[in-house]
Amino acid sequence: MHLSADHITLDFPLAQAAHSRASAGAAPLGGRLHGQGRSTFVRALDDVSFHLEIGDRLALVGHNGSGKSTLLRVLAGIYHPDRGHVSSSSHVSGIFNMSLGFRQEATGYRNLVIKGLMAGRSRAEIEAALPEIAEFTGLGPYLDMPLHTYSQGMAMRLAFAATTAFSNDILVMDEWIGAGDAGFQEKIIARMNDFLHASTIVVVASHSASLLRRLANKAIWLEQGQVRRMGGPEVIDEYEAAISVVELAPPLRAQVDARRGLWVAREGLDAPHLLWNLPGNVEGLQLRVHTSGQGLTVVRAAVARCGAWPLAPWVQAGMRFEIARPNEEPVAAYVADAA
Amino acid sequence: MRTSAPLLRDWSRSFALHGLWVNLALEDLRDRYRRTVLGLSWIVVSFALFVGVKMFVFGPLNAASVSEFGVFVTLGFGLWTYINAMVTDACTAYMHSRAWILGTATPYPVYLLQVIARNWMIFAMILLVMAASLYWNPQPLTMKALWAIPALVVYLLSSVWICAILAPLCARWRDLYQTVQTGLRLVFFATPILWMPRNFNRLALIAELNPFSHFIAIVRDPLMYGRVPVDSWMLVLAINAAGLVVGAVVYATTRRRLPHWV
Repeated sequence: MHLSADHITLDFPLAQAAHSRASAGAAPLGGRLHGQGRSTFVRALDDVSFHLEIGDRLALVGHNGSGKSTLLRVLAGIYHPDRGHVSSSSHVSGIFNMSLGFRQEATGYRNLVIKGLMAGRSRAEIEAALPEIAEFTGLGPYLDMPLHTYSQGMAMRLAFAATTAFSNDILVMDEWIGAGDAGFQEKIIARMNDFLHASTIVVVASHSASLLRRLANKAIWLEQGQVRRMGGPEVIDEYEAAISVVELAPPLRAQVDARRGLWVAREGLDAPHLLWNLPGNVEGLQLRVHTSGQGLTVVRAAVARCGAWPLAPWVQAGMRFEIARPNEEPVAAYVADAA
Repeated sequence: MRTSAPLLRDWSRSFALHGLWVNLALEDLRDRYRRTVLGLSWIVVSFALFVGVKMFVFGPLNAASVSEFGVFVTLGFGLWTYINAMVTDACTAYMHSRAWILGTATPYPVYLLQVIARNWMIFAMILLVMAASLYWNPQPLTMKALWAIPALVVYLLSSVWICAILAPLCARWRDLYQTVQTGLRLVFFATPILWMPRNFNRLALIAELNPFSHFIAIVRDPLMYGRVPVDSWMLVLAINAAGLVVGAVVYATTRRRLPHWV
């Protein structure tokens, strides 16, 4: 089993010529604009190649408009590349819009049948799979009622169950998680683990780095339609570090990039800042401070991989700053000095 | 030659997915009439009412007997209802399936066949009314009436290439859809449906030049008058031959760009 992309290049035609100012300089978002004769194109993908084998789970990361969704659509056979080609050992299932094809007036069962037909299954195969899907949705008698009587979460359950039940061994998915209640989220993750244990190839694009880290063994960082970095899960860390400093002022950005851990920087800055640049998973981390009088105070409820916090006037020597999850040992600590 | 392989692959895969497009067409119809008391019989009721009013208004303008004109209008308007709906729906076939085209790799002809299947389901009900109207026809049915069957097969074939041409072009140039809609409204009056050519000399010439009259004649003439209009058949077959070629070329050249247009 394999899925490979061979020098994929894809241009989107633009209806009107790009303004000269828009095309000048390097825009951080979207693909590069270029003209050819009288027409203008966006180069959505530029010479993207990779090769995946059985069991590979590839994470796609990058800014908005960096080409993640476009690449997934090329892999799924929706967009036809201008140059290069995709080859795979079997049919590729794309999951982009789980409620696609749902009929509000039809019953849950009827919608499941249509979803199955959409995936190219025969009527007999669908009938055989229905009891298990019905069980998975947990919707019971609602499956005989029209879809418009469902709540959004219930419709989501139906969509996810149908989509995964009728998927093939090679899957490409775009921002697929995030809806449903907590119980259903766990079901989704368990179902995903089934995919991973089974002999499958999965390509996922998401902005949730923690989700991707749990899932992927390979990663590609796309920038303006080009592969900026390709490798193992460490590429996700690098991408996350890069985006969390983008929001900082340039002098802070340089200092944050230069070190690892939690420290205070003064040189070249208007005011002293507490800076951090953390390794590994940063999900659920907080910035807190131990003071002798008040005990533990949370300064920032959520921190990104890299960040900066201007030292408040009340900071005194001996205060201990920590980055940690609630009720856990700190992953980084700094004790304020006399200066 | 490079472009003909994907064309054949798309269409053969789409025909194999007949369970999908037949069910999609059924759901389209059910959505339209769901929660109505009359349900699908609305198609028959509204068509019969329309024909009745047209007979009442336009009947006195024609020299023919009431029963002859009644059958003439029922057959002509029944066929026109199909042609009009089919051509209009052909324009929007891809636009209405935008979410599908951007969400799945389903071959595009599925959406065209869905539109054709839906229109034939409606047409089947109208055909029942048309068949019933033959009871009042002044001339008895002859064996030549069977010529209406191959004529209907030609309607089916024409629908395929009309969809293959109009669906992608209308998705690319949205003005084309409006043009086609407006054009159809004008052509309706230039086609002998509400008037009989033998009553008006000037109009008879228009009818002769209008290809739609010939499409209607190949079904209506054998049923009403027991004659096979050979000239009309020749013209319709020639149009179909050209249409199939143009349809194949348009499909093959637009399929790669279609997701960017819808």
